Amino acid sequence: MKTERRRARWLALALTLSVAFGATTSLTACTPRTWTWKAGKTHGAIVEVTAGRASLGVYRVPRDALHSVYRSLGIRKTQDAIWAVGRPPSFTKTFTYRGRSITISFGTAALRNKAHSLIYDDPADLRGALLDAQANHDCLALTLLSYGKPTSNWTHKQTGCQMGSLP
Amino acid sequence: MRGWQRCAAGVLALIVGAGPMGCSRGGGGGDGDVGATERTARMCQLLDLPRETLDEEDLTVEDALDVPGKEGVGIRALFALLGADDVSPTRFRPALRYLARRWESDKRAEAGGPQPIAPSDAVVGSARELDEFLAGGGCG
Repeated sequence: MKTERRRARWLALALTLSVAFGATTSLTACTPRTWTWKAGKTHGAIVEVTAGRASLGVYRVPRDALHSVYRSLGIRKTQDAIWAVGRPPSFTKTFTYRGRSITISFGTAALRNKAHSLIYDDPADLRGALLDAQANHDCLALTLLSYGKPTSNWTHKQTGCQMGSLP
Repeated sequence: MRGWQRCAAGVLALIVGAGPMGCSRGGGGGDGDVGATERTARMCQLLDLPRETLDEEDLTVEDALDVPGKEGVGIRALFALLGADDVSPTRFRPALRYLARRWESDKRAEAGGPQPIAPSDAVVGSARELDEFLAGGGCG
């Protein structure tokens, strides 16, 4: 019973998110904007199937640049840099977790809509993840799904991390 | 199919359905067909954050070319991240390209590599031109 309630709660949240994603995509996706960070160059989806986890990874070279910004200008300016240029690429990934097919859509407009709070709400979390990522030569990553459930936390990833490059 | 499974299928269908609704990204790469006005607008948009930072530090673009130490590396990293050289009018490209590449040289130098090459006269001239453009309200 408890499990059913938990499932229902999660599904309600997922439904809300997906509807919001769909709505924002349909309303704002056609707004012209300048895309500077390109999929495959600076960002990528990092999917860890066994943990039902999906993260948006900032590859090593742009992470290095963000670290330079942090070291010299502080975490606020780093947040500003991510906000200004870190528009995520648009793609959809499907994977199977515990026998369930999970599709995570990094719809650009949708994520953009949520991105401000993801970037600005927890500077200490971002700072810690950036320092760890730099020290370990990893990707800076924003986890959006963990154990099949929506989440949001900054971390660092080795698996699935690429070098990437600047625009 | 149990209730939650039906619901999950609905959620996934919505997510999958939402994906293809977006417009093509376009616009981010080649700019061969972009007019000068649009190119300037795109450059200005990308320079927003570096400009703000330069103002805060009381520096010009020309200063940023060769500001030493951590401060210089951080400012040039911002320019590198933004990649404005790709979209800028041709006359500003030498300065913007130098700033982006200089960040990479700074990093190599920090790791014990060769010292960065100082900006050429053409690069400095381009930076001055950009400073004048910005000071004259070129980016609003």
